[in-house]
Amino acid sequence: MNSGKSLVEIKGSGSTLGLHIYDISFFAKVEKELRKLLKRSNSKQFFQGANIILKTAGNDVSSNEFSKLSTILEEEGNLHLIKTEESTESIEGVQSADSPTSSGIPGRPSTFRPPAIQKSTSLASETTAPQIAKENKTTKKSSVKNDPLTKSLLSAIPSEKSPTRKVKKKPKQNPAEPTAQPNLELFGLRDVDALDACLIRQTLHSGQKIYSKSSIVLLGDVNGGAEIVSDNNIIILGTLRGVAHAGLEGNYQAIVFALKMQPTQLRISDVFSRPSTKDHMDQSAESEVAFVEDRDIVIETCQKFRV
Amino acid sequence: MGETIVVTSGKGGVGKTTSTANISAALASEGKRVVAIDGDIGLRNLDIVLGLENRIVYNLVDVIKKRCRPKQALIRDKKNHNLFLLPSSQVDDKTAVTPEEMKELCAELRQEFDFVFIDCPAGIEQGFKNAIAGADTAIVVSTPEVSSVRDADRVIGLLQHNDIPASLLVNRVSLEMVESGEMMSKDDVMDILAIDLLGLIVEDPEILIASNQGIPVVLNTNSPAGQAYLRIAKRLLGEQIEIPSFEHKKGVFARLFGRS
Repeated sequence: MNSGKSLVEIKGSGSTLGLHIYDISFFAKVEKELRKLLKRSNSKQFFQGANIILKTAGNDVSSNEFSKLSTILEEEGNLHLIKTEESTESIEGVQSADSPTSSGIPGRPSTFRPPAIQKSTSLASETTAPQIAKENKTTKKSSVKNDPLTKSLLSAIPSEKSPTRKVKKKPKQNPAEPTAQPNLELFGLRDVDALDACLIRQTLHSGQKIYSKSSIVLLGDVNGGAEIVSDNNIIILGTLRGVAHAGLEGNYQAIVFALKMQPTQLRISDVFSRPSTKDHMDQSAESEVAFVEDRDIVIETCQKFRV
Repeated sequence: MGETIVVTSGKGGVGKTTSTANISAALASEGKRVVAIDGDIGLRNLDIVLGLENRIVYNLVDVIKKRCRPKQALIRDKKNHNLFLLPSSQVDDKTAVTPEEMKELCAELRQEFDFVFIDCPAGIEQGFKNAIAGADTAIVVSTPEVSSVRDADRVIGLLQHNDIPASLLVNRVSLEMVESGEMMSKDDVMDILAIDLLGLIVEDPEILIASNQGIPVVLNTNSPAGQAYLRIAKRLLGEQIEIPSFEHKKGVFARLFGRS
């Protein structure tokens, strides 16, 4: 994705109107962009009930997503979405033979997409693509391409000393470096969530708050009254007693992991939940993972989640 | 050159003033020159607990505003001549003093005394900021009760942010309730707060009685709390004293506290 190029576009070609979506993998963003686009261009009057074709550049669109887009187009733009078509301006991509819905099972995306040309050498799986798309938009010097996987997961970013700590993801490498990233495809690694994570080695006390765009690995506890917020995943190697908010900008695939899960509240994207008092009584001795399933937050032991 | 210790908690009513009075008195009886500053401007209590309220002429705000010299404001304790009190003002409020002024005052007093104790007011606003400004280390007082622990946690975070090392004093521990599982044990508290434990003070009616009489409970040899304060003072002087298992009541408590 070039920064500056939008995610969705409405273009006419010949006698047909086409809704071009350049990257469908981060669907919530697509919806947002589409709404914005339609509002901007005074669409209702302009389109007057015209037909429009969805052009997806080789990506799968589930029937769920199709109907959502259709609704938005009707409501905001007075447009009728009649079908999906392969766009001629496609990015290289491979259609997986058994392509189920792209929303799939949270955390376990079923379609594996090899790297797309615009995204350089980074691995474009279900959940990696959104972050890369975002990164490219906001930080031109995205480090995702350049980080070897282990290095990025173990990189320690020193946090600033302030009661309200904001840990912004910082690019670690010189952007001018040639892309020497090992291609993870070679190792047969699939379902790679985020190639970038920040490591914080301290306990969050009550009243402290950390935010990071990237996933956060915290070596310490999150005490009651503290908050840990991320656009992606949150891994707490300690006890979670406070509030954890993962997948801030709409990433429903984000998870919250903790060695001891005793939160006052869990949030993943816009789904909130609190533990029932009964759960609080029998604490699991194992580490647990929280994820979203059908607009609900589900907590399972680490063992079950892995399988 | 002495050490400045701030006694703080976040939560009100957990025993900061009582602890300041007693630890100061205990250290003074061990031969150290100690000054206790009441940092609670507008709501002064330290003078009452030490029984010196009738002797106040000048106070902390007078000293800061240079209306008098520090020596003129200091009140020597009735019994223990190593212990001095710098009382607070009852008419001003916490905006009367700035952190820089407190820092200056502590630096000055440190020259003359072995220990400077600052009794911090409850809260985390101006009063708290004033009190911690001149401090080298902190004693965080907490009771084994959820809201107290939450507030202590907040305060520990703020102290860390200001690079002030802290140690923990768990006050008002009821042995029966811990035994029956109705009260947090010291380990539950330590689990969350995760700082060094300075001492444990059991719930003791003698404290109330002593407070009303204006005598520090530490002078009462029959009071378990008083003896605990004495041990804390010795620990501050570097002695390695184990936290006892309070066996005098029932042997069953030994396994609760024996580990420490």
